[in-house]
Amino acid sequence: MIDPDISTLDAARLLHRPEPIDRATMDRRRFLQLVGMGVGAGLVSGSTGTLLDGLGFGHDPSAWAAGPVGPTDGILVVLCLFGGNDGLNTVVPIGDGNYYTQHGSLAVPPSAALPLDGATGLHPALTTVKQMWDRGQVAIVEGVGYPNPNLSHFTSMAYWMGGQPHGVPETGWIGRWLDGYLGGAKDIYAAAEIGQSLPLQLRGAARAGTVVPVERPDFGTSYEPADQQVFRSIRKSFTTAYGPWHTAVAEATADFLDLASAVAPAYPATMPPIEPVAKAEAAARLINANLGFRVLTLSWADFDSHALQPNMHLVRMQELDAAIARFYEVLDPVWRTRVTLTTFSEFGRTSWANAGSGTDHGTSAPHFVIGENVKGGRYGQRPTMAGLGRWDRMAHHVDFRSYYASLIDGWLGGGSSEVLGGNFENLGLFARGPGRLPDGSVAPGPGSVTAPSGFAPLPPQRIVDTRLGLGAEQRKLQPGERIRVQVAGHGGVPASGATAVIANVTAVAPTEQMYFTVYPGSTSRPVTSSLNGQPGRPIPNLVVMAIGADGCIEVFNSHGETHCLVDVFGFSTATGGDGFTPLAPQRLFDSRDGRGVGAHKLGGQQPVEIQVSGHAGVPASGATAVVMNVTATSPDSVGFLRLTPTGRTRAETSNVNFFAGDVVPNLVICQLGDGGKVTLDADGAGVHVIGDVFGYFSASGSRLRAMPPRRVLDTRDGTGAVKAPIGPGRSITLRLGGAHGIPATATAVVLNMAAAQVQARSYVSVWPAGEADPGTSNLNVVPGRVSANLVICRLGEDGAVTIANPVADCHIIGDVTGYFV
Amino acid sequence: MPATAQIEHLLRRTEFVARPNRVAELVAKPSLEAAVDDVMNVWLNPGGTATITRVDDWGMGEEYSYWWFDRMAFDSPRPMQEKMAMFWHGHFCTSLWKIELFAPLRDQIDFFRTAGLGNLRTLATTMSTQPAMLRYLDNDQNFVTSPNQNFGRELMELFLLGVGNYTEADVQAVTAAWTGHTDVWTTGQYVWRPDLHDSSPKWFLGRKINTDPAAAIYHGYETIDVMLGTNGAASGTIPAGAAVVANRGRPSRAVAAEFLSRKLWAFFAGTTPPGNVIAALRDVALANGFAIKPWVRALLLRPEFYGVDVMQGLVRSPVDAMVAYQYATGLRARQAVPLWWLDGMGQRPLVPPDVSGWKHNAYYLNASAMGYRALAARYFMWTAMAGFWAGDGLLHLGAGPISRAQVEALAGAPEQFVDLLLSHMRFTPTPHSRSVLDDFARSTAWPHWPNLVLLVLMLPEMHTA
Repeated sequence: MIDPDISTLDAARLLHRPEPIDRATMDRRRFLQLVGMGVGAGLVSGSTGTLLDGLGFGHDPSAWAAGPVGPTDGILVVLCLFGGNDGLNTVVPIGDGNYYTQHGSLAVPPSAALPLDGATGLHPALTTVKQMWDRGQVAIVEGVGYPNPNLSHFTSMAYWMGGQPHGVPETGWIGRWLDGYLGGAKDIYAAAEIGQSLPLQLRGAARAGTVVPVERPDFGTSYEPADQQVFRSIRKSFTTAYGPWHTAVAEATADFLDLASAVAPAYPATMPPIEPVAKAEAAARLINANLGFRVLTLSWADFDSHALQPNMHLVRMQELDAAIARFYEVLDPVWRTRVTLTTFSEFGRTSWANAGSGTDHGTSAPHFVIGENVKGGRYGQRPTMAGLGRWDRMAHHVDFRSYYASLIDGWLGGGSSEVLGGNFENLGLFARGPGRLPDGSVAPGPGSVTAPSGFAPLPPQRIVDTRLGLGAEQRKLQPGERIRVQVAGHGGVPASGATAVIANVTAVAPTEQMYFTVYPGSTSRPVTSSLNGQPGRPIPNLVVMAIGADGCIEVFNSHGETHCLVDVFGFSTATGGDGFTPLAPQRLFDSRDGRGVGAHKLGGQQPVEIQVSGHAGVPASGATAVVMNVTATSPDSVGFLRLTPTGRTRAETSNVNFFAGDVVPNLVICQLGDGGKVTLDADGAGVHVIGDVFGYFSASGSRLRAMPPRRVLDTRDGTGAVKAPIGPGRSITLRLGGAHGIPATATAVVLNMAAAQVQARSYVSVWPAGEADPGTSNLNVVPGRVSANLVICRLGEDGAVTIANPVADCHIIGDVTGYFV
Repeated sequence: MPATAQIEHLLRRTEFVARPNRVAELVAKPSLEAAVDDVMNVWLNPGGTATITRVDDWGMGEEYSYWWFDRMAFDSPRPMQEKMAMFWHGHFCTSLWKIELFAPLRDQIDFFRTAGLGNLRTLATTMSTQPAMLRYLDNDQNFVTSPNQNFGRELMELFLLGVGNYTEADVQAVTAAWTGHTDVWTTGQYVWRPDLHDSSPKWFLGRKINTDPAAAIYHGYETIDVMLGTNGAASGTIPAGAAVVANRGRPSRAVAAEFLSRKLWAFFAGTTPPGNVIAALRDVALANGFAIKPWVRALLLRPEFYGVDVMQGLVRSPVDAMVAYQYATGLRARQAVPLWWLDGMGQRPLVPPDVSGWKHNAYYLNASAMGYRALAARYFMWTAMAGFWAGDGLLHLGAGPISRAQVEALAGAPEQFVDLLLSHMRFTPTPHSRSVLDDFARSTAWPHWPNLVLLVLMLPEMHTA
């Protein structure tokens, strides 16, 4: 009998050296540790045609057409236990005398195993798995293998990864699933290995998964201006003038810069020191970041316990359990119903222990499928050990293709017969589909991007006023409380067909510094803010917010008590509506110097008309509404500003609220009235007003795609920019087009900007990158206050906007809620 | 006289990069034929082999890789020698990972370096009994008592005929013919074990083989001779049961000549080969008894080889890209070639991913693979400028160093600095890229200009051949 290990050297057929270590020797264990991590970097096939399909710079916008991960999309995390895990000591047949005879001193005693039932226990280290089993969230599939088993690590791993138990697989089962999932389109955020090179299982015929590092990527992620200049230049080398491969090289390079900058914010500065635990944490963080990943794979070694198995296997089991525990610690609970973990290994081990306190290459083994929507229990069939001789191997009862089919059809949306080249039994491992709660409803999820929509203005109408009990209970919001605002069918918004709402949200007389987070209904609350309020004052802020599947938006109050108002100004709809034309910001009127309006303060609700059409880039005809930042400055008393389409009845709602001495801006989307004008009036003793135009709506132009709020900038922690305040001489160039799920083709973004830790009174301006400072302002900042304002800004060079603060330092936070394409 | 663009293209494909001195030499030749002959003028066993100081197998493999990179970038008077060796290394694939011994792998690659432009029959017969291959495809465990088909199958499928041009009976026949060629497990020494050989006659591609027990040691060679119709053997015939219907009944030697012609075209040209080109190359191979030099020469002289689609048709493999980095920066492999990043790029010498070898073009293009090329480019830049600020004050590049004083003196003339840099990197970018480099230089202060080394290394045309 040839030692089966000789055949394990069959191997290098598949696997790859992952780390920069200068090894003195290449012993077998080391070899296995090194090869467990992946195969080659490339795509196997990919003719010129498929690779170059839909060549666009940066992301393929279609990759985002459905939003990142939908509310009923399942995510699979695949754990590869490389080296051949001893299944008998993982799921222990505690009632089987043959096991105790054959495994001998290696066997886990019944008293040590974590009991599942009279015949089954778990390895004592698997305490997390046991807890999840007790909650009915662990499926154990026993006897998984394939016909004519091969005892070589590499050949058997190639079969498992390939999803075909013969031949030299050129593609893997996940890669082929990806081919179908993407339909030939490109999406570098669909499936990834967490490691250093691409495993066979992620290679498809047309597309392949991505490799993301375990640690925060280094190159391509710096926000230092000098580095950013280098990255921009690398991107600029893109051209289609020199043939398809020159183009494809430049595109892949830009993809890499995109990938690095997209995943870097998801990672903490340091990761746990244990490899599988770090990889599991990375997986959870990548899922939390909602970049679109549907499959994440990770691998570690060495499970090849030929000798000294007791301690070795104990450590592997401790690692496995710790990885699962860490994964769920880090995973945002909103994803729990949407994520399943699954294990595989190239084979199990022999039932007989060998002379060296180890076991040799076996065949079938049990595997775990773990998740909140898994139907816990034992599946498959436990192979018998009765009558097995020293070199006999256990039979398999579940073909690994059936195992995969159960995952593909039960969790990844189907297609197993295409992926696996035949029909294999679905074991029915799931209690319910991804995102489903036991009652069949969809759990609040991360939300998705709306269809491209046009803007439909409405006469302003208040739909929530907690002071009056309008649209909500007649009481203040408590700290940490949220109210669900039914938007569809209210305030003029149609009951169906509206994709986003445009509304002013006001915090009235909050008792503390606070913020509101406004977000789409039936989605999880993001870590973003929509309005920052000060004690005692009414603070309005415009929001452009996707309407959830339930027709609602949510308003969450962070601190203190406050009343809440919601005034609707319009909505967006996928059918009809007006398109947006973003403009270079330009000042339209300023009562301090008489530009566009009389050179005097407004007050006493005396109306003045402002000519918009034909000014500040707005065409003389065709514009239906204007996007304008209106600022009240030097008020003599408390009061408010209000805009009304000229010729219409004045609304009962206001746009800007101020106290004496304030400088307060608010973004306004106002319909144009008679003669292309708007009418402005101010309540109070007297106030100067300034208006800066950022764009207009008309029958043509870009359409809005609203999205769940996403934080893209926070100078306090280094998100999206250097971790330092901005101030005189230190502007930020924030790349948004081609990042954060915003396609490179986007023309403008909807961004809520907040300023904190303000050193002195100043103002913050946002304008398209690569253009001169237009001298407009978006946010007026005051020491001791956190203030916020919505910004709708055209994207400039490289899909970026420039953010500057010319007077004194402050930190800037930015949350995107939509973009125009 | 050949056109400069043709010569540059020829040199990028055969000598890794278009060295200006070589361009000048070859442009002065009377004809393209003369230029191609010059490129292929590789003499016997040039350059010897690497001097190895390490004792561990993996470390010796690293040393050899470094030496080989430097041969490709600097040291070979005719880098076509190393180019052909890389072709055969990716064709008759073996890997240090599986073999676990360095010496057999060196023997094999040195053989490819010596005989890479020799004769296919010699290459095939010799590599078959080299311990590297015996071990890599398990023929060392192929015994009459327990046949192992791994080698026999790949000899036809991947090495000589192509998939689908034989039947399972042919696999069994080849496997039997090769039984008994094994090695000593601990040393990798080749051993012929007649007692483990299967000497029963077999039918193979329509010919009876394995018939002479006295010549049992040559039964394996005989399978190659039948496939190629060499050494006096009558060519085999693709059997009626073969999967490739169009080849049924055709002489196997013609099928083999077409199969290798396609692989050569893919390697040098990168594009899908026109049918008439393959037919012409096949005929050259058959007319010359599978001699490689006239075969490749004919390829390099095809007018299609100088078409726009071919000129734009190949992505530099990771090895070729690192050689181009080395040539541009003048850095020796030990200084700057990061072997460990080559895995992430998708190609590491001595360690092909599987027996089917490395692929081309799209195989190397994805976000993470390009990321490793960028990391390598940055490492080259850092190495090139290691002493620029605190040290020798020099930026070390292929044509010599640029001093900090020189850079500073050009602070007001960014385009002149780009000129200086490109001449020192011996690289001519496209007009589009040139404008990108100029824009960078114009919009940054001179202390940032060493970043241009990285930018040049990351230009798309640095990664196409």
